[in-house]
Amino acid sequence: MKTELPIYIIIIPFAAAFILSCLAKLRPRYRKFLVLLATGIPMALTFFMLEPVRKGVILSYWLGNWQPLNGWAIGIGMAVDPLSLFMAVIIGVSTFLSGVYSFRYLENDHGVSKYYTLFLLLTGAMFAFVFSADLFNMYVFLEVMTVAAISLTIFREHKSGAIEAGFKYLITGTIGSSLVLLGVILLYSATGTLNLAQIGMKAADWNHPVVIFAFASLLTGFGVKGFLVPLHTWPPDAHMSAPSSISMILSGVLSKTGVYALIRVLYFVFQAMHLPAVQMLVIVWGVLTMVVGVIMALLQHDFKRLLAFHSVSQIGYIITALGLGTIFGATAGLYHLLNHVLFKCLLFLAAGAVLYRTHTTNLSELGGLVRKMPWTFTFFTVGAFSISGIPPFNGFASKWMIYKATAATGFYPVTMIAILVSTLTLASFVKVLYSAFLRKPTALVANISEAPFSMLLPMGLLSVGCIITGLFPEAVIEKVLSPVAGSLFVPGQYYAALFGHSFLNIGPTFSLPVFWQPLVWLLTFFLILVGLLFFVKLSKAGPLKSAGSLSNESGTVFTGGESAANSNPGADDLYWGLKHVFAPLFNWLRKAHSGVINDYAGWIVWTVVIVNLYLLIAL
Amino acid sequence: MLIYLFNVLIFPGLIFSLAMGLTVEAIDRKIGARMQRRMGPPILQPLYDLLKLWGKKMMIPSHIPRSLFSVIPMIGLAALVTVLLFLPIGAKPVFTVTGGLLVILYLITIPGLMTILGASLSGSPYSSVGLSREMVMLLSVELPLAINLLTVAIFVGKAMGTGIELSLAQIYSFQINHFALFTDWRLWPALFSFLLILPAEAGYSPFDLAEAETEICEGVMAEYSGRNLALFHLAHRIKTFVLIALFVALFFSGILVSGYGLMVNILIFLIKVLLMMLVFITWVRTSTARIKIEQAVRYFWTYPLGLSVASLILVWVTSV
Repeated sequence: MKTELPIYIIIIPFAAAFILSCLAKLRPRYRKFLVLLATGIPMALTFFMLEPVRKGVILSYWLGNWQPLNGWAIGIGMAVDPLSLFMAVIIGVSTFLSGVYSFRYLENDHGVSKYYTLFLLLTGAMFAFVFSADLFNMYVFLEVMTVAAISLTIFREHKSGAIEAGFKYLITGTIGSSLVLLGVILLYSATGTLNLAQIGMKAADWNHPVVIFAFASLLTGFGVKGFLVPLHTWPPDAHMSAPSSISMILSGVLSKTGVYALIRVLYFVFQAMHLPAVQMLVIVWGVLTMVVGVIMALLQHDFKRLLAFHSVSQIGYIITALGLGTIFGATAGLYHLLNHVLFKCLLFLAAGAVLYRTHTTNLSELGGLVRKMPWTFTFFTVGAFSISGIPPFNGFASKWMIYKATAATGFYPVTMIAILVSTLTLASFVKVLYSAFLRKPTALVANISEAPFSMLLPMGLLSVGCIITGLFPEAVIEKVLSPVAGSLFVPGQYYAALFGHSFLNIGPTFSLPVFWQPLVWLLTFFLILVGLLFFVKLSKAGPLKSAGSLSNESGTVFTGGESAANSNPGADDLYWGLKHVFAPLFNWLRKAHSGVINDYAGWIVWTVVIVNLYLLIAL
Repeated sequence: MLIYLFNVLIFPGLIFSLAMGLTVEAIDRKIGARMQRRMGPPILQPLYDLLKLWGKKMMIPSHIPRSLFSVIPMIGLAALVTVLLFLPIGAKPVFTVTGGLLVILYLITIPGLMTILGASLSGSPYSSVGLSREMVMLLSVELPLAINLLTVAIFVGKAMGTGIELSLAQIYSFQINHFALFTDWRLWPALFSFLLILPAEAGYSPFDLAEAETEICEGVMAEYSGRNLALFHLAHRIKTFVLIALFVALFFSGILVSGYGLMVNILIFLIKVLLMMLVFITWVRTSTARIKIEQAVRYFWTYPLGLSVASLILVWVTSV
């Protein structure tokens, strides 16, 4: 029974997508129910697999019962190892929350049944992608995923820029997929098999140019899905024009499937992480992604575009940590991956709630939402503090581990850059907090109210997730991440599970003498806060008697004689001191992101060339 | 448990930090005035100021959520006070197995962040200028500060053979057992860079851009009054103390440590901190004028950063 679970998880969303497209006239109530079932059941089924996988069993399944013959894979295999399951749980929970969120969010759109058809296709394809143990199958589902995501990006085709965003995504996504296909073909010609495990069991012959070319093509191809700079040109447009429930999936989950594929390629198929040259490549790539992403984010004036560039930047952290090739680094990277899913989904949903009520995501037009949407503000603040790495939220715990992992392996400059990028992230989110939520209300937000409950609920759950993963880092690492990170270093287990050998080797672990313990800090913090409140109470009666407070009834602040309308600075040039000094760098980067699809396609091709040349020389 | 409560609420926690905030202010103002050939206020003036502000009515513009506006300064102050528990004040720090330098680096940004959020909320145009400057200063100072902390960590780690030592408790006991770190020439650039950063991080002239009274009406504080303002002022002074205490703990832990018990050591530590403050905050403050924000950014991205990087490279390539 358990071994068949993966196939059910894949079939249910696909079948529901088919049914929904046949029953386009279905009543909205039943449609919602069907979507809830089709995302909820796979999510529940992934939970059923937790127990066996935690015990060390890797579930494998051969489609049509085409078992391997004499150690040679004939049919299509599926395998659920800790890494796949980790991704599957993330996909299950996020798609479910996205489904719940979209019910109210899409109430004014037309063609909603098409939306849900595509959404369920996307869900099923993502599940299939992470369960598949067959390289060509991965490519197929990558294509299903990409096509569904492109169509969802242009779901609101009447919005300006939507078609352009879809077109960009189409071109860059296709080039990326073609590169993946190229890599798959080359590997097939070199090894005669498409099964991940079977390719992995043959030690990669790094002197063979075909192997290097295949490796570079796969890295670049999956890099397009995972937002690596300079392959990151499609997400900003796509995230901006897609509905927020899809932006959340694109940024929070779809990009992680790219990272997942990179992990599979690096750690399982090629087992390349012990090579210093590959480590260097991945780390430099990660750092580049981190830096370019955050600088571009700092220059944005659109809520969702800014979030999209931050996704790029945070993926850089994950890739860098995974590129270290140590168990500590891998754990840190996976921790940040998990956290990024939580806080980035949360932030996109908050942006969506703002868009839903105000019909704009332009930061210069928004303002003073804290009064109107207090819950959205609270959840957004949790997300913003998490992504900026403010203790005790989850972003800090994982970033702390990444700093420690990079410093421990001697990559000190990487640690410095990561700390700087984290501060830049904070600056950029302060800008959003200031201009959208905290500053004086603008005319636009005069008559708006809080987002509906069905939109607040997913945000609330994700906020709780951010806080829990932040407060219990050691428990999260022990219960969730250690098995996953350990499995990356014993790929033999994965091969053995598919081909029926027994393989008993437990992955490496680590222990630290000093660890960040948020609970201790938080308890201290609250004690001190209570102490301060005691002084405040004391001032109500007794020697420190306070005269109370007085509300300024006219509601004005001191503007030095300027009219109030002209004294509400926007976010356009908030950090001009910084921009002024670094203008050459910022302008160069801004110009480089020309928006011309030919340039972006060229960047991808150049990346393949450079990665190939580097690997040919360095290996 | 009782010891923990004592540590958190009295020493080196809440009461001690409040006292230190007032002491720092009193000495800074008195000696600063003498440096400018003024009489200066009486030594208890900071306490009078605090009590007076505390008793004043708070004016809060009506468009602001009042509770949020008032809780922001408290969060900033409380987060700041927790840093003191990570610092070795005359003895090993209270928290030895949690955190380390990276945690301290992040915790000391929280008060600044809270100042920025409070300023955003106030809706004053002066505040938005102030918060922009505060954030840009934070961005400029963070990188050299982080490099300095890591340089020290790498140095001690190399000397102890543990790779990298991010625990302040270990850095402290290393200095007690071996030598104070300011005696090693390779750390001098980092030390100087830290000194250049101090006034900016603590918000004193010539880098008091965010609160420029004469120019943008106290900037970030423009709409704060009464008790909230008193809390912000206290936090400012406590932050000064925390930063100098961190500096002293990193570089000057190993000298003048007596065997006469804890109280004497604490006293010696405080004297070190106050002397450092007089030289590198008060003296600098009284003899310079405020600079512009783009000048400050350019300055911090050249000299302090260059010194920090130089120190890092020296420690990296040489063996200890």
